[in-house]
Amino acid sequence: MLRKRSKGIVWGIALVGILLVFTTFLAVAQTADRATKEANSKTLVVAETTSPPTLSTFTTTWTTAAMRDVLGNLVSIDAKMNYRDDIAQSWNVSADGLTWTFTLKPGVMFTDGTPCDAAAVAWNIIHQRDTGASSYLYSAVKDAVAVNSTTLKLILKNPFPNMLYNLSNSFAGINSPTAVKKYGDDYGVTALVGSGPYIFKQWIKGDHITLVRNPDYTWGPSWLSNKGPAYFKTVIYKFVPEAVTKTMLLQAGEVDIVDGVDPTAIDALKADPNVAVAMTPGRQLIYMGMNVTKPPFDNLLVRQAMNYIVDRKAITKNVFHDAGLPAYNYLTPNVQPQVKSPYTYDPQKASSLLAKAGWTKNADGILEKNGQQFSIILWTSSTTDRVQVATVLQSEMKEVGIKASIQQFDPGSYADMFKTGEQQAFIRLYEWDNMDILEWFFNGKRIAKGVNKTRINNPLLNFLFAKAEMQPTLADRTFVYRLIHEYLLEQSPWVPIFYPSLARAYRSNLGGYTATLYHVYLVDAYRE
Amino acid sequence: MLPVLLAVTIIVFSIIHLIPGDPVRLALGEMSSQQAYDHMRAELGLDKPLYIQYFSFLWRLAHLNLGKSIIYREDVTKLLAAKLPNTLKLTGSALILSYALAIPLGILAAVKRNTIIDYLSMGIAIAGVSVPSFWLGFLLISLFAIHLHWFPIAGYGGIKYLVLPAVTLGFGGAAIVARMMRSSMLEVINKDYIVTAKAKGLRYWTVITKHALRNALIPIVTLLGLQVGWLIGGAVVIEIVFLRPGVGRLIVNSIYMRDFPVVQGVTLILAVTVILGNLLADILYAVIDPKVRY
Repeated sequence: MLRKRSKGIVWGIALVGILLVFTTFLAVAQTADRATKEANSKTLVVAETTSPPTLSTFTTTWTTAAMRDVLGNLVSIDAKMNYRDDIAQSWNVSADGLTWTFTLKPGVMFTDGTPCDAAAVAWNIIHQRDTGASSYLYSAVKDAVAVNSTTLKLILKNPFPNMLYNLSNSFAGINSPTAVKKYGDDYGVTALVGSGPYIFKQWIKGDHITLVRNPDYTWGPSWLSNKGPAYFKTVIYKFVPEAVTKTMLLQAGEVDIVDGVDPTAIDALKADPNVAVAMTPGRQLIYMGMNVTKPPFDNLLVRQAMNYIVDRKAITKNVFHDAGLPAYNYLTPNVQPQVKSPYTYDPQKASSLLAKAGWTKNADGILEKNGQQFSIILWTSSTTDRVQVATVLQSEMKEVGIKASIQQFDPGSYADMFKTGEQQAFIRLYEWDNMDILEWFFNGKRIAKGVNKTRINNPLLNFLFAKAEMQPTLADRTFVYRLIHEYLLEQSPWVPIFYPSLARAYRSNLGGYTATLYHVYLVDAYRE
Repeated sequence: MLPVLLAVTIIVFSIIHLIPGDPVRLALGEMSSQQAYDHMRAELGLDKPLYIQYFSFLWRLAHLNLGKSIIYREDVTKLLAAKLPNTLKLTGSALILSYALAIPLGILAAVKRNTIIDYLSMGIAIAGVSVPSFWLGFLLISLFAIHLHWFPIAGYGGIKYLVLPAVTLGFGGAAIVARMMRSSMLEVINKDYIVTAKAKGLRYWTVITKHALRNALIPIVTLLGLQVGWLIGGAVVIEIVFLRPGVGRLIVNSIYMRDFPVVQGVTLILAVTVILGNLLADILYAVIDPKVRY
């Protein structure tokens, strides 16, 4: 009995010993692995197309990837589009949908040495709501209360199931309140302080942003492989406006990641063994909008006819080299609620709808009604692909007897032109991945600012938008937006045309490439 | 010079304010709040009448203050100080390169008129005028940076970063100068005093370099003033292709974003540069032609 017992003890000790050796071995191996990755990973260069005006989330709604690397968010979204932890560890929402309670990770620090605690997050939310450029993010927030250093309560005016989306948004990065107050107007220009994996070092306007590793970063999202600081010591975000230059730099190894690869370059990059191309459905939609208050698009049948005129598949192939999908919906492919569009490419059906609306062809093959020719002006920005789309639409309209002339505007003028209400038809692109974009573009209250460019002011739509905002759960909200989406397809203020893919490319010697729809997470990246 | 600069300020100020585009909305983004929008307009003085904005601009200018960029939130003077040297380096090198290449080429074409050398020189010159600079830029990058690895693809730093952009920009300029040099030289070498010099038994190349060249250079010098403006305009495209952070890239972005203070400031500085280029041409006239006195 005693012998048996002592044998058990021996085995127990041996087991503990083996475990100890194994853990030590694992720790040594991990340390060695980190040391190798860090030694190989000195500088990472990422090419982006446009340089932001400022890096402060409080003073602009333009964002750049560098901001996400420096700031960190309360909530993150993983590659499968699930809401996951970031600065917040977990959260729950009260049954009435009016109180959100977030439990923050302990020990999170801003890189200026101040704590990134519940009080700091609450300050960010209230500051953005009251004075920020993106105040709409928190328009439902009545108060943000720091219960203790790791518990934050958001008390809402009305249930707002979209809260996690807003909190994970690039505009919702958490800044150090101390730094914001200290730098004043220079915050976002000469300084940017957050609790993210990188520290802002330098910004040469219009050229590049330099970031350096945050050595204390151990609180990253749990869905990332690397639980410690980033491997790359320095990250340079280089702004390269010219698509060909961007491709050349990548192929020559002078940049490591290109965000936003030009569709014409994709085939060449795929053929390059030193480069990997990552393509996923994006968050953009190119569409043709119609002013529903001006003839001839004040007629529903005409608007519906326009949806049958456009050969989306041909545009996808010939203009965009298949770097995306033909679009039939108003929301991008990742976004719910998707509904089935009744429209396909059918010029005959378009002609019969136009005939029903009273338009008949004259001797020259142009549609006429009451002596007036069907002649429209199609606005577009001078961006190359938009002009190409406009040209294709012009020829497709001509086939059914519509005379369209194209008017181009430089991007600076274009947005402002819509305030005049002079638009008839126009090509636009939007980038967003939430159902609330429908409210943004089609709510009657946004006509004056030129945001609601179709100038649709439909009482039923306006009522549904108001209803959707009050829904307690995401399922209820989605249900109302499904009705909205279906109704919009029927009313046809837009002709959805093309969903550009999100195309990124990176050097094949880059390990740990982790990307979501919004961001390439550089924490995992290392040079092999 | 002052009236010209005043005219430049009036023209640029009027144009940039007349064309549609709201710099504040562009800076903040379409989704920005009304509150942030109103705050920024007031902060930048854009809520004031246009004539007050113009006189404020002149008043600041008198104090050598070009204002603050709406987009970059930095002093325009500071932005220019960082970017102007890059543009001047590029245009200066391109100017030197174009003249160094074009003058011998033009002389050679004139002296060897109607020979293969003439046809080849002028063929190169026609190609230089016709080829779009961005295309030439990509061609040079492909050959010398990607295949031969002699130069970096793009960026800025030492002289190796300057070679390809300067050649690209200078090539077009060289073409114009070479054609002008050829026709000017042809005109001079048929003049009586050149025939006399040759008849006196002077060596042919001495006649060309000592007697003909001096007079043939006068129209080329006139071109110098114009070339400065042309090269600065060309630098806009070259800076985008070669990623050089100069005023060309700055002004393109600023026009797109309706960054009024930057557009006004950059245009003014470029106008001064062009005026100085013409002044230099006038001085060179006097050096080349002793008959010219101011």
